[in-house]
Amino acid sequence: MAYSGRKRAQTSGSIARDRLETVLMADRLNCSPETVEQMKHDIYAVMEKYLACDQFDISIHLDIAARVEQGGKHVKTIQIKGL
Amino acid sequence: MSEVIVVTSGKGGVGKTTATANLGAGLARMNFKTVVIDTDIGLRNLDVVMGLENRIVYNMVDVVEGNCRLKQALIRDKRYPSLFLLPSAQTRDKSAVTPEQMIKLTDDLREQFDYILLDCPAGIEQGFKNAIAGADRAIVVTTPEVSAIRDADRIIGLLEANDIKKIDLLINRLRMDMIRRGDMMSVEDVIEILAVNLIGAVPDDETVVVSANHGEPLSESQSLAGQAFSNICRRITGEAVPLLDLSRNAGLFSRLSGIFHRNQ
Repeated sequence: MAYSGRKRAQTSGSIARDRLETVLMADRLNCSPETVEQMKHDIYAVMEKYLACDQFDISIHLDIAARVEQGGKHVKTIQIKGL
Repeated sequence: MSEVIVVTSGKGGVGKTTATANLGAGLARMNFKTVVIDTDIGLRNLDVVMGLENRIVYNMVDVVEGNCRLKQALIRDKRYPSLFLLPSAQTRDKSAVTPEQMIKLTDDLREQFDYILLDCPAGIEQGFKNAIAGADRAIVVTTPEVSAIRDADRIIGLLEANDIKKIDLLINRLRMDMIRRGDMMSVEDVIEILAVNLIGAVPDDETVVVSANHGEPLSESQSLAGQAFSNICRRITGEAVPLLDLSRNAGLFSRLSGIFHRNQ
């Protein structure tokens, strides 16, 4: 769950921060773990349409996290990291 | 122009009442006519934190129900002549008052006071809705802990949904020693997560407990937390005040208090 390009030592404070950013985005988007599972199923169904999925071992890894940047306007970026 | 400020948090126990009492005292020290209102019906605390618990005759619910005039319910602070308390009722509950009644109450108070601070109860139900009804702006109090920040985020969302546009964050109970070790989230961490303007950072301070025991406001000179609250009062009035260097001053105070204890 580390953000690409940013090294952070794993202190309890940094763990708390990472957890909070995920939890808050889930709260704000109203996105429960069940919803994430549903999204994974739907993504797999789309992939099946275009790819010969039965020939491969496919696992979908989906993390909803967020980075809120402060600036002139508050920019909220949602990162959806998938494999 | 009067300002009605609600001090809220979502999470209980983060320091709303302490903040309201000390911000009220600080603004009164700056000679503003200030009233602090305890809106926690059924669980009143602002009176006891301010040491005024023996002076209550009428309360906010009495005023709203027309059992007394507003002037009869307002209690002048023992120390600051321009500070008044409107206490809550202890034997009623949050259904005793409606948001419309709160708006009328704060409108009436605007005629007499420069600053009206509402100490909001924890939660997001009727008590919260009552407290924010007449507010122009909000100060959201949080501590650098996971549950407090999560609740603060929800509260910020609710405030924005209720058209309160000016929202400031007060981070309470900071422990610089833990932050240095990486065991507590820093001020920067919290601001980045919540993305709201910071109005002040208050350190964890034993003097807060001692002052509450006495029913007195924090001292500006003997208490780091007291200094922080004074600075926040100045920022409320629009003054730009740099943040206290909590790490440097904490060392100084602990060394000084060490000297005093030894000499006793």
